[in-house]
Amino acid sequence: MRTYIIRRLAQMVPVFLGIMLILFLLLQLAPGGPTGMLMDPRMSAEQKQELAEKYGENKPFYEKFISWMADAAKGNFGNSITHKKPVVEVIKDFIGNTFLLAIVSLLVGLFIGVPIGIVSATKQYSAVDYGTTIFSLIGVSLPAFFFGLLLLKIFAVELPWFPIFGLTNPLLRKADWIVRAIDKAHHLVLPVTVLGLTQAASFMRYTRSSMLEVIRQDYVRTARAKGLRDKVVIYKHAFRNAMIPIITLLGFSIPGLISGALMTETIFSLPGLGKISVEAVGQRNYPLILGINAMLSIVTLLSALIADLLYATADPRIRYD
Amino acid sequence: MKEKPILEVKNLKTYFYSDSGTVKAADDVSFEVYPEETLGIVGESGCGKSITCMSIMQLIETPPGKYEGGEIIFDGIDIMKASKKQIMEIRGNKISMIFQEPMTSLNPVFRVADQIAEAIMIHQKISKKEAREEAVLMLGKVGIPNPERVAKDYPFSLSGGMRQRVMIAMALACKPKILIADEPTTALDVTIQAQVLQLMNDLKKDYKTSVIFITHDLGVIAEMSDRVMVMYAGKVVELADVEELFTEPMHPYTIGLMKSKPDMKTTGDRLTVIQGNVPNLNQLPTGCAFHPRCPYAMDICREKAPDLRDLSSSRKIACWKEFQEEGMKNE
Repeated sequence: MRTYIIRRLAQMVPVFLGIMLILFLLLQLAPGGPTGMLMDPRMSAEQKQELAEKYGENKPFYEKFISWMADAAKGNFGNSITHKKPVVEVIKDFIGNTFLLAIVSLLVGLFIGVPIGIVSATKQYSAVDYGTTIFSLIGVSLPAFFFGLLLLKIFAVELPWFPIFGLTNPLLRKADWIVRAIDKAHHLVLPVTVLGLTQAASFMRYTRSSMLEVIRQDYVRTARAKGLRDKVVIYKHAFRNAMIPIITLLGFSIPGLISGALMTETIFSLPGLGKISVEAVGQRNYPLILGINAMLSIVTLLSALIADLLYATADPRIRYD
Repeated sequence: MKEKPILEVKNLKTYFYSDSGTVKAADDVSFEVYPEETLGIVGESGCGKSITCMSIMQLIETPPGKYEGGEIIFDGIDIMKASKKQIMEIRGNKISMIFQEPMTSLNPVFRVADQIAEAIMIHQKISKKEAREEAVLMLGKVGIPNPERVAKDYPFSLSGGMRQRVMIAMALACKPKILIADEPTTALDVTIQAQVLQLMNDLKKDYKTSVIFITHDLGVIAEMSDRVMVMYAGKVVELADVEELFTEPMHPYTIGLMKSKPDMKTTGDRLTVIQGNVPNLNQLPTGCAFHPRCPYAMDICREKAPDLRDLSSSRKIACWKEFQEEGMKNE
């Protein structure tokens, strides 16, 4: 097991290098550069040249890549051009909110999607099944930006129940932690609804199809023949097996969840990674773009590993040694 | 054999409804099971053997299946009308079942002993530890070497024969009155098959259990059964003691089956076969379902299906040929 994990981690290194190389190339192909934002239109050609030199923009591509990678290996991702702070610190400031949104939405998605999927599978072709299938189809196909704006229009503008933007009320900055927690939860309701329902919809679909497959298995019939109650048959014998592909899915859904969170944050103007990465792209803040993407690729690679490890705990037939 | 039967199936009708029509999988099936006997059920694939037994356990998926009528009397209860609670008490406790596919009949994510212990714990008020000890004991009884170690294994590490032994251990753990074995050896190779059959016969004697043994293997039936019931297209066509049936088959279908059975004397020649094919259960022929393939078919066979009637105290048959002869004798 330990050697397996070490081997997998080692395999991640070349994959990570490849991802960063492609990202670097993409940024090179994009017009403009980071210094464009800092340049005054009245600057002379020499001054522009000097500025570009200062940020190392004139160096050949491979030199830039190697020096960036060398620094990154030491944990130094450079400075964010607009924040005038190290990239790592900028990410640290904003990552908490993104993870909060992503994790709460994931939990909402799981706790709504999985039980509905089970019920829908056990009552296949019933009204409940059709209803939830339609719900999940809408949930999967409704774009987050549209659904988010719709919710904002209804529940924040027409009915002023929820705040329109942000994650905290600045007036409550000095209040009790419990008041601040409630305030934060209040701000999170709409964003979590958008992201959580999309997650719930996809978990529902996967749970339903996985359960439908498992319910027809011989061992489910054996469990019934033993005299077990239907609930035990479904939730213990069938779901324990149906869970296996869902766990794998869980690991692979983490990157999608985070990119979904980035999108949702932008709609609701939440101070998270999504907001700063959109800004960073707009401002050609290359060090920050690279830093955020490096972090996201590491998260993605790690979640794939976590998915595989969880898979082994869920299914006794899978062993890594 | 004239004791009181412990299970009586009377006019059981289990139908399946689909877009392409109604399938009468078990149509007016009646039979009894006596204490400590083995009743063999033979017939081709799709003749309703398994559906009949699944109906006894009330394991048919409804829909698409539907119990259209009949009674299944066990322990003074009509299972067809029994409450869910009563059925749960019977299943796995008084009547238990083993299936055709040992490879897929055990849950892959639970340990072998836990799956057996679970069956014990549903029906007996004992602790988890006691149930586990009992499970290990059962594994020993079904001839699994080193039961302590196998108990902790998952099914994937066992062979097909071992898994079927585990299934038998699970089915017998609560000392049921009836064990239904639905082609338990079909998926096993011949030597393992012989071992499992031997084991079932031994355990049957120890536990004083009645067995309903479903198979399409006439050799297995001859070895295992006291009485044999032959089914064709959802109906019982002949029911007789095993020796009677093998020495003097009477229903044309049974005669056909016996003729098509290879024996030691069979050489390179082609096997005798019953002409024609098994009818589509959606569109059964009128009258007796077997008449298009029957060498003795008469006019009445095309018009009216024969009932299952007593031919002697130990023999029942559903064939016009026999009744006409009987009728003539009486005149």
